[in-house]
This record gives sequence, C-alpha cells and structure tokens, in this order.
Amino acid sequence: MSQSVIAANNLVKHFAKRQSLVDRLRNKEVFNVPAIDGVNLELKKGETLGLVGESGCGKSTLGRTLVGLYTASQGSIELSGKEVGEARTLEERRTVQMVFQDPFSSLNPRMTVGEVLREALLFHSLATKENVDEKSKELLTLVGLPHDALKSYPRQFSGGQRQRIGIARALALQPKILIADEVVSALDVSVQASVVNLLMDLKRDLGLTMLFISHNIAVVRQVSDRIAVMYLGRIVEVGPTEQVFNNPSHPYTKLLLSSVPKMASGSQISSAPAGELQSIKSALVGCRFRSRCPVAVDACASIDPSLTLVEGTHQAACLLVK
Amino acid sequence: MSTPLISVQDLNVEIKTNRGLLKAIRGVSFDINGGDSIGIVGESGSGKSITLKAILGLLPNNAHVSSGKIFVAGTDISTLDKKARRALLSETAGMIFQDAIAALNPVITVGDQIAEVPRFRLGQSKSESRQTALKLMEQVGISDAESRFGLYPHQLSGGLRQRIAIAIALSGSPKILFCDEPTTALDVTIQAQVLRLLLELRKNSGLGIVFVTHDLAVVNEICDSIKVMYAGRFVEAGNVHTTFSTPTHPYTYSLLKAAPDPDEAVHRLFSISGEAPNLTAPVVGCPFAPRCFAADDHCLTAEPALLSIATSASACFKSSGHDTWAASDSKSGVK
Amino acid sequence: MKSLKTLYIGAGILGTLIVAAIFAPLVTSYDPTEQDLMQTLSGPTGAHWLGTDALGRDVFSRLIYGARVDLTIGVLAVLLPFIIGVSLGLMTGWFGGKFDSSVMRVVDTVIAFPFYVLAIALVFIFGPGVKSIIVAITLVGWVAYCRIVRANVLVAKELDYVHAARLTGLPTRRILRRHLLPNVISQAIVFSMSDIVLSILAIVSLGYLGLGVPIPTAEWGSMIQEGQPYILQQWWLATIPGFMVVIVGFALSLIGDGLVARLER
Repeated sequence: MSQSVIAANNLVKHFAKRQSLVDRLRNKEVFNVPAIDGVNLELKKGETLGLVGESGCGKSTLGRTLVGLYTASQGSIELSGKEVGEARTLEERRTVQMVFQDPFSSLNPRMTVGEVLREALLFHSLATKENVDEKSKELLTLVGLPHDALKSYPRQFSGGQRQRIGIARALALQPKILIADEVVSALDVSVQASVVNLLMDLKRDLGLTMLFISHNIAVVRQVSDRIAVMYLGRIVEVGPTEQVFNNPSHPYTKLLLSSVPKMASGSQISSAPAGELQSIKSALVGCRFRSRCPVAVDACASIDPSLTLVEGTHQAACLLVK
Repeated sequence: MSTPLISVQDLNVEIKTNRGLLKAIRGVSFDINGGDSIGIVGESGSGKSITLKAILGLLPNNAHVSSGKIFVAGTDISTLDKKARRALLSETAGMIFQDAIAALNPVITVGDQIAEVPRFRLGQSKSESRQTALKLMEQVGISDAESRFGLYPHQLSGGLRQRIAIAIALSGSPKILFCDEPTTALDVTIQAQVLRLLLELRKNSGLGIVFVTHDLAVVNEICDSIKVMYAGRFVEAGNVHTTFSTPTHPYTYSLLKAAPDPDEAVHRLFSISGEAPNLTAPVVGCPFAPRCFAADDHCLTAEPALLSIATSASACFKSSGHDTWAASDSKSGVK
Repeated sequence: MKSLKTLYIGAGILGTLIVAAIFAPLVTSYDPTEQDLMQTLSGPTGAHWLGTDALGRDVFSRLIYGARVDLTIGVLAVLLPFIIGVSLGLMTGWFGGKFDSSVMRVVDTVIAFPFYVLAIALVFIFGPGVKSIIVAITLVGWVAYCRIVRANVLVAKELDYVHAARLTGLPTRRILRRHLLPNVISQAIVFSMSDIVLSILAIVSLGYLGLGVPIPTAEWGSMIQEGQPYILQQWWLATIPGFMVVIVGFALSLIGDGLVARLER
C-alpha cells in the first residue's frame, strides 16, 4: 500500500461570527455553524481525489484549510505522516500548492507573468539569478504557453490561458500535492477540456497527488481515482470513483448523481424530490441529511452516522448502509 | 402553416465597446411557434443571451439592432410605438434570468411581486390578484404558498427564488418563456427541480420554452430542438436527438465530444484548440476554421451559410462528410 | 481617449506654472521683495505687467515667486500624510484586530476635530511658518489616506492572488509591498491630487489670517490679505492670487480625472 502524503484527522473549521450589538444586548448566543465538522481524509501518493458537493458544503474550506490558508479550529493535518504546526515551515508550504477558481482575481494585475514566476523561484532558491529566466520558460512550456508570455500582464490573456499561468505559478514551487479548487468552473466547455487534460498530464508526468474540488460531477468522474462527497461539513461517502458512481450508497450521493443532466438520448431528469434544508441548527442533531432524505427512519433523528464500510474501501455515512 | 408566434429575420446586433464595434449577432433567423422548446447553446460571447435580449427589447444601452426584423404574432415590432411594443411582447413572452436575486425587487414581498401584473396590467382587484398569485405559486411548486406570500426575496433559498421568478414571468400568461441560463447559478439538485418544473409547465399548459445555456446536457433534458451558436451565428440547427447522435457541424461535434459525460469516464477529454474569435475584427472565412479539424483553405476564405441537410441545418462546407469525422478529428483536437 | 487628454491638459497647465516658478529669476527681472516707494499701487504698465502693490513691489514677480512657496508647501504637506496614511492603512487593513481598532479610533477623533482650530493652536505653539503649516496639515491629512487604503486592502487581501502569495510563503512585508500596495494605492494617488488643492487652500487661508509664511516672503495668501484694503480701486491685487489658486485647483482636478481612468483599468 502506498503511503499517505496528506491526511486530515478529525478536522474542524469554524468561522467566528461576530455577535451583533443587538444580540449582545439580548444576551443571545450566536450560533456558530462549522464549515467543516470532523473531516477525516487521506490522499495516497499519486492519486487524484475528487471532492464534490453543493455550494456551502465546506469543500472549498476543506481545500483552503489543507493548504494552510485557514488555520483549523480543531484536529490536525499530516504531511507524509508528520503533523504540521499552526505556522507552517517554508518547506511545508512549498509542498502543498493550490490552483484557484477565478482566473481573473487569482493573478496580481500589476505583475507580469515573468515577475510572478521569478518571485516564487528565487524566494525558494529553486533557481539562481542566472537561470531563473530559463526555468520560467520551462514552466511556460510545461503548461503550454509561449515564452513571450513572460513579459505580459494577466489582462492580456484569456480565461483559459490565465488558468495555465495559475498552474505554472503553483508548479514553480515543485509541490508534491496540488489542490485544484473549481479550476474549470469559470471556463467554457471548449477550453475546460484542455485545462483538465493539462492537469492530468502534469499530475502523471510530475508524480503529483491531487485534490480536485468541483461541483461539476461529470468532470470529477473523468479525473478522479477516488471520490469524496461532502454534505454540510461532513464527508458522507468516499470510495473508488467507479464504485461510488455505480453503487452510490448514501441517499445524498444518490440524489446528487441522479440530478446531473445527462447526455444520453431519452434521458429524463431525476424525479426524486430534493427537499429543502429546513434549519441548519436542527440538522446538526442526528443525521444532517435527514430532513431531505427520502428513506429516513426515526433513528436518523438521534443517531449521527459515521462512515461505515460498504465494500472494499468504499465507505458511506448512513444508518441504512449494511 | 400558421404565423409563428415570434419570427426573427436576419437579425444583426452591434455592441459599442472600448475596443471598437463588436458584431455580437451576425444574421440570425428563426421562428418560434407555440409549444416549441428550443435550446440555444453557445459559449460565452457567442451571442446567445444577446439574441434573447434583442427579441425582448432588453438590450443594454451600448447595444442596438443594426438590421433585421422581428415579428411578433405577425406584426413587425419596429413599426409599433414603445407602449404597443411592450404590450405585445409581454403578452407573448415572459423571461427568467440567471441571477434570480437580482431579478427580484428586494423591498417588495414575493407575493406582491407576483400579483403586480395581474393587478395593474390585467386589472384584477386586490383580492383577485392575490388569489392569482397564490395559484401561480402553487403552479410553480411552492408549498405553503399562503405563508410564503409575505416573505421577502432574501428570506428564500436560491431554488425558491428562481421559482418565484418563474411565477412572475408566468403572471402575464405568456405563450413562451425565455430562459437565460436560469439554472447555472443553482446547485445541481436544485437545478434538477427547476428543470423538472419547466418540463411540467410545458406538458400541462403547452408553454413554449426558449432555453439559452452553455450546458448541452441541460438542453438534452428539456428541449426538442437545438440551435448551436458560434461567433454570433447559428452554425447548426436541428432536432436535439439527431443533432446529438449525428452532429453535422464540426463545432457541435467537438463540443459534444469535449463535454464530460457523467455516465462514463473516458479519462482523456477531447479538447478544442484555440479560442473563440474576437468579433470586433471583421470575420473572414468560417469563424470556426482556425480551431477546426476538418477545415481546408476554402474554409479560411469564405463563410458558409446555414443550409439544410437532411433533417437539420449546418453552416459548414464539410458537413456532407460528417460520418468520417470520428476517424479524422484528432488532427487538431488533442494537443 | 478623452481621459488622456484631460491628463495632458492638466499636466500642461501645472507644468508651465512649475517651470515658471523654478526659473522665476529668468521669467521676471524684479526681486519680489524689493520695495519701490516712488511707484506704489500703479496699474498694469509695460514695466510692471500686473502693476505694483502698496509698497511698490512688482505683483507679477510676487505671483511667480509665490508659486514657489505655495506649490512646494502644498506638495510637501501632502507627501507626509500620504506616506503615513498609506502605510498605516496597509497595516491596519492587513493585520486587523486590536491594532486596527485603535488606529481607527484615532482616525475618528481626528476627523471630529476642526482643522483650523488645530492649525491655529499649532501655530501658537511653534510660531508661524512653513514648519507649523506642514505639521498641522500632516496631523489631519493622513486620516483620509489611511481610510481609503484600509478599505481597499480589506477587499484585496481576500483575492486569490494574495492567497497565492501567502502560499508561496513570502514574508508579510513583501506581500504588502509587492502584491497589495500597487493594487490599493491608485485611489489614494487620485485623492492626493485634490488634496494638494486643499492643502494649498489651507496655506493660503493661514497666510491670509497672518498665520502662514512670515512676511515679506511672497505668498499668495498674504498677497490677498495685503491687497484687500484696495479691493475697490486696484481689484486685481487681491483677485489675481486667488485666481492662481483656482487655476492650480483646476489643473490638479484634470490630472486627477485623467489618473482615475489611467490607473483603474
């Protein structure tokens, strides 16, 4: 079995919500919803884990906590079996890099592509002043951009090209783990495919481990070895991609997969009722999905299910999974 | 054949930008009949949204119809004055947008917003219009309409807001609903609900739908016919199922192949090289030719017109050879 | 490009004035402080283009030499608050917390304080002169820059390019200087253009009140004050220095408008 390169142990992230003056006067407790609430996750060397879920489920927060942009409220993160402290060392930072969603806000508008790459390379001593230009050009070649891009500003590029620049910036640090946060959701279909292919090629050629966060289930299916489904801050199902798609075991995964519009002729969009989440506060007792769940039983209101084995490494957090 | 509800003939729209005049729509013609469900598919900047806005007279200030005619129920709307045009359009078509929160007035309760048209345009009394609004809310699948009547848009979830927007669009009892990416901002489970609602409305009340989207799978789920737009023109038009199984334009072919399929992992997506052309520059030749696997020198010099072949129409010189594309598409595709 | 035209016109007007002020001895042959009591309050003549004042000094020379004083102090009096305000704005926006709230309390206090009362109080402490003026304007002026920059930092620090810089592990100083500063400073620069006008107005006002640059140094504010008694006979004595302030203000606002379009794209 190959080793784990990054792992989250019981990770929790709360965002402190400021109490308003009125609430303070009324002495009312502000209810603090955890964005991620007890997540255990492990990425093995060289694999791509697809992380799916709807907006607000905590998938982006999980990515940003793993990469170190947010500090975890509880729990720990391990890199190659070693727990990272609250302040990461430079080496630990370099190891985990991120590619962002928005190709427009993810690049400094006042720095040329060359300046961005040079800064990263020189700061981490991955190049010397003499060979930094050469190294930058190698990076551009790697992501399929012409060398003269070095002197250009981000505004001179299209969305797809900007995502390539963002990938080059992340790769400049020679990371082991790449966290791709909705990297293709802002791109058109015809451009999306080439960026996804590029990421896959790079992952294979450079031996990267990748966490691919996306709400686009069709794309995730193409790129992932394993897939994890998140709902309200929890991972509710995780397993090898084909097993999860062919045998979704959590009712939420079933709903999610049946809701995706299909390309097949004669397809009829799911008729499963999706329900509406009534109140987050009440959802935190028992199973979080129960108010929307078509198969919920009485026990779901009191027992908070944990991930249980379905088959092989395929796990789901549902009381009804046997 | 009877007069189509809406007929668009050789529509051209220009937009003034700070990079020059952008020819957003370059000669678009099509008819919409009652009960039609047409999907207009294209990428950003292809002109799909502008087409809808031009028909409904909702173009932004820097855009104008430079030539072409729009007939609504047989009347050329450019011959009508502003008021008559508005009246004719609003009894023919309703519209819903991508951003439901921006489309709703934040300081008026959702019930009152739905009741507005019945009350002030259809001349119903206050209690009548309230009943109409409640009925519309039930029709768009809002349970407990009575208690949600008095809520404000921000108190509702994204899916419910889009349902309210649909109810408002239906409040003037239009024959066609124009949908401008109404589900793009929604979560996939909520998108499925809204799409199902649109299908039901169509089945139960014969509502026509014109659905603009970049998502081919969505078109597959809810439309009968499809128009594929590229660089301000329709490049392929036809029945959804025939177009999906046998595309006759290389762009459609490439899009279908590039779109990841949730049902099947291919592990390597088909990719289209290059980017869409900049429409502030004059278009020479077929606008897709630089990205096309089937293009030859002729394609770079002349722009093909949208011509019927068999059951569909394609704007491609090479469309007759579409059954051989599967063997030759790797020429420019995979990079 | 219309915005470029306004930028060039504004810069042209201001540039002409600055060149004239620098080469004042070449532009005019009179010493601005030299009195000629035989020729007081003369109207415009071939020798004295704008006439002479009550002490027989050449008004045109005084105007040009006055530009030296007013423009220099005007710019200096903006430079210090600009530097202090921008730096504090960057840091409060980035670090937040107790540091932020205590600086913002000071900002609120300064805003609540009437400027001229403060300025007059300082002049009494330090005595009239350039130093007191600059100190007074600096004490009040940094607040605006601090608020502008802080607001921009609060937005920019959540943008992904700043996140990416943090992930690179760059030191905070580098992120602030290279990644935030260039992207948050443009509004402050544009504001500084109109702020120069305000500070020149303040100098002129203080000069008019007799609290500014000590006489007999030529300065527009004191010229207005000295010309005031003769406003009915020699109206230009008080009016023309005031008109100069208007021209400078006009030029700077043109530059400001031009910069908005240039910087904020």
